[in-house]
Amino acid sequence: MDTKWKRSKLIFSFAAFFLGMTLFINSLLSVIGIAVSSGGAALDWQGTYQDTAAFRSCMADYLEVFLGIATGGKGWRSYGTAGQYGDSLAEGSSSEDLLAEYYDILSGTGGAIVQEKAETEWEYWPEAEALEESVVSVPQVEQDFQDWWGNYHDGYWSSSSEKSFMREAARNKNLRYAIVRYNKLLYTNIDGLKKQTGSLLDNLDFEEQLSPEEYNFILWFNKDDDGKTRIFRDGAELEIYGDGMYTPNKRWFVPGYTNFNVDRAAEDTVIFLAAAREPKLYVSGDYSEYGTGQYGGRLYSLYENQREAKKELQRAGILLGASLLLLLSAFFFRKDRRLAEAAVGRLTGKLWLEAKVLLFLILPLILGLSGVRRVLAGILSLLRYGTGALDYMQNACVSLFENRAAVTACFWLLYLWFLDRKANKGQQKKPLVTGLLTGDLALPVQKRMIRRYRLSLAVWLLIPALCLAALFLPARGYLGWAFSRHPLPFLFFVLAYLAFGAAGVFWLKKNRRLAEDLGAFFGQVDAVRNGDLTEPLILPEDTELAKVKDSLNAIQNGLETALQEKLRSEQMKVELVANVSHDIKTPLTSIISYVELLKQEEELPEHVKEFIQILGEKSERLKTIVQDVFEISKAASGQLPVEPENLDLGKLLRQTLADMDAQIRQSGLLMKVSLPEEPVFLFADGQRLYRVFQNLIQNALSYSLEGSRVFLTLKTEGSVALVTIRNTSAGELDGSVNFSERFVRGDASRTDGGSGLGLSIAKSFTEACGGTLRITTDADLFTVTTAFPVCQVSPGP
Amino acid sequence: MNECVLVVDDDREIVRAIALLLEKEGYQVCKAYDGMGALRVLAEQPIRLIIMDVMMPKLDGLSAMMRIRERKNLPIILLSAKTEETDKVLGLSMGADDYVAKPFHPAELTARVRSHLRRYTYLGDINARQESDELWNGRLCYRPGERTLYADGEPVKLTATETKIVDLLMRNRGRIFPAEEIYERIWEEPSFSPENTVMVHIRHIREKIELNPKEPEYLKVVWGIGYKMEKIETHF
Repeated sequence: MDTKWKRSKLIFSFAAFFLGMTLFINSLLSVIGIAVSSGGAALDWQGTYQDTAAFRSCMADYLEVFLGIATGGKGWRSYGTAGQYGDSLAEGSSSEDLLAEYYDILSGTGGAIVQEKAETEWEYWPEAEALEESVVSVPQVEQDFQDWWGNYHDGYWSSSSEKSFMREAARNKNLRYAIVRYNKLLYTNIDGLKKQTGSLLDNLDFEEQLSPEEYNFILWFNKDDDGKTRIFRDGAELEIYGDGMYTPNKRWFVPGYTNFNVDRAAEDTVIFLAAAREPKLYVSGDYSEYGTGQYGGRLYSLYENQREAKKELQRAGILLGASLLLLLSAFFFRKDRRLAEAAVGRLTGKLWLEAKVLLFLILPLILGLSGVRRVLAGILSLLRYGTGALDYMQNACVSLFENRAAVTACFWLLYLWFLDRKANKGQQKKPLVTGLLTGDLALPVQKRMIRRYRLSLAVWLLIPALCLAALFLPARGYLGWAFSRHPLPFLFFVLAYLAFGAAGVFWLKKNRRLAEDLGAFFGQVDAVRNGDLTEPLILPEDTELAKVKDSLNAIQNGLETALQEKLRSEQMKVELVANVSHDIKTPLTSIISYVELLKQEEELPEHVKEFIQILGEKSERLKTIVQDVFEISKAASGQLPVEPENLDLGKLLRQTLADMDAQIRQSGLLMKVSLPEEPVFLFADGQRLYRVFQNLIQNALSYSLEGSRVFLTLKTEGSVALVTIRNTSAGELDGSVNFSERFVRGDASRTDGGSGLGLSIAKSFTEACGGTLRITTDADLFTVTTAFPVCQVSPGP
Repeated sequence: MNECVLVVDDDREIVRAIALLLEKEGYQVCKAYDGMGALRVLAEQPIRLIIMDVMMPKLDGLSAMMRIRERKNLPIILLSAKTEETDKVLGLSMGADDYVAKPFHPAELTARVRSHLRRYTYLGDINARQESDELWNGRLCYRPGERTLYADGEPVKLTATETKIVDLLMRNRGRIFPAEEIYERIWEEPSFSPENTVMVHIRHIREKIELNPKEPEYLKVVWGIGYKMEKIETHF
């Protein structure tokens, strides 16, 4: 329950973080995207479409166009012969072409600065980019073009379509206009004034014809015959000229600046423009001519764009809020998240390096090469043209930001990379290549074989497949063509390929069986090595390894027999020793008894008593030897009964020393004992251990240099208890002698009560108690080290 | 003091040697060389104790012992060259009072004979006047009221400290006492490296109560743990 809760907490925290971060990046990008693409206008929540730069330039354009129409500029005429109202649409010329012409036309009337502006902008195409990338669609631009083009076309050069133009213009009621020259009303689409078209006007009261509710934006040109433009919004006049000098960062590109004047022809022209507060789409049904048409003009699209952008911004804002909430909750569970991140890191740690590299290589592709290229180009042009290229850069950035999925993917990839580095510091998984070459040695042999065979099969099948693909796939539809044209060779190729593939799979299956049998075989070899001699290797009847399997089983059988024989002989040896010792013991009993009787005889010469003394000593020694030989042969064949229990080795050593106290005193040697205060617990047979240390100490006492010191220390190293006994030998030590060998004595000529089996017994008993005994000599220093595994359990009461 | 001991072994020299040793101690000795002979002698002579080899022709020691046990309840000491613990346990469980391994120490054998004979006679008396506050353990008997230990019915001369140790161990037969605990209980002061002190006293007590102090039967060292008085059944 608890772990389940923890687990779900982990998952929740990570999911919250993931979702939150993804949403955050996406919504932030869309906010930035909208803000950039709308020139910041979308962020002005109170503002309407009339506050946008696009609207201002649109109105300035209208003014220019109408001025051109009114004055009959040259550019219009030359263009007029080429274009035909309606046809330009049908031919589907691109918006760029249209705009090119548009600027051409403008350059004819707009004066020097207009010309210059047109040329500079020509290079970067900000307008075109904006139109292309933003919601404004191509037909919409064409529609705008159509508005003024039709007007101009019909008004001056093509009177035949004047009626049709008037219909079109009249239908786009988002922009109301009136063009007056020499006080004569040339054109208008203001309903109340249409009758006066062509006549002289008494006064210019166009505003009164319109409802200020509907049309809140009014632009007057040359109303007061001063060549200036006046703009009113919601009845209030807007400040246009500022200090009177036109600079590129002025809001309004309209004539009337001290450095931006109109020519003489325009001086006699008055233009009135009114923009709707909420532009609408107008649909007309000209069924008699060419069906329905939609007319909203540029204002409508601006308005719609603005509204859409705001809606989108709103959505993005909501998402941003949601993402922040998610991130906050992820922050509260950040400990769990870190755990989850570590788990993710471990997961990615299992990936091959190649996979990771591939992932990171694909990244720029996902990002969209064009976006990257454009950003790079933007940076370059920024360097070349300075701030003039800002627009281009801006649009490139927009396009980059609009590829939000790519940016998000980028972020997560970088994040994964970070987690991967953090979780797998210095122990990155080896690349697949090195893994394939070396890394599979840890696998069992059969898996290795199958893996390698699979790989080679894959390569074997892949190469012809690639060749086939290269042969038949360069042209789309070529496969079908190849088949229909040369069915037999083609079929032959395909069938041959399939046949080879099938053969490969068949061999893979056979090899897999062989590999499995080999694996079992090697397993059996291991088992035999570990001493399992009873279970024979069983493989399926039809195995390819039948022969070698039989051999192994025969070897195993032979080993088993040999082992049994060895055990039997070992057993016989023990029995022999037991019998021999029994047969020695009976006469020995008589000898000892009669020696004792002899000792009790009183009327014997002194030298006879001495002989009897020697007889007594030797018979005693013989008795000891017989007992020791018997025990040692039992210990050597593993038949020594041991009764292990928990005991304190330190205490055992103290007891042994106390037990041998008299001998130690007699020896004249100084015993230097170092035992730890705390108990050292072993699970061993105390009686046997006593014999071990008794023999070792006895050995030290017997063979030490007179008056020297014997060192006995006990210490624990990890889970091993080490008892070391060091003494200085009286006789010279022969380093080549194995002292724990039976009947080996330091001094071959020495005759004492010992059996020569003391160290041998000590070694056998130590091993019977699960310890090890090691003898080292260094000049005269004789060291015996015994090691026992420490038992962690304290002894029972 | 002229108790008759029957010595049975197929090795005549051994029988003779044991006979000589026991006669020196003042015992009467009857001899037999196999199990059947032993049964014959037993039927004719007033035998008080039997020393018998296990491996003999005609009737082996164990079978002979079982026959004897059917009628008589007298101490039987088994002699054997087999020193395995299992052989010893088998012999004792089949009714032997003692088990002496060959080659034995003549002095030990005579000590055992003496011990068994003394107990045999002494126990007859004890049965008559059974006292309630006696702690019996094999051939040992401790009377807490007198603070005296008897071995084979004879009082053992112990020092005051030895008596205290015997008192503690006899009251808790079979329980293992670490040297620290013995020291603290006897000397009534905290112990510091008590092993030597305790071991010295243990050795002294052993010399007074054990038949073979080198291979103690009663006062045993439990190596690596402590000391204990082995709990041994007393056959009344």
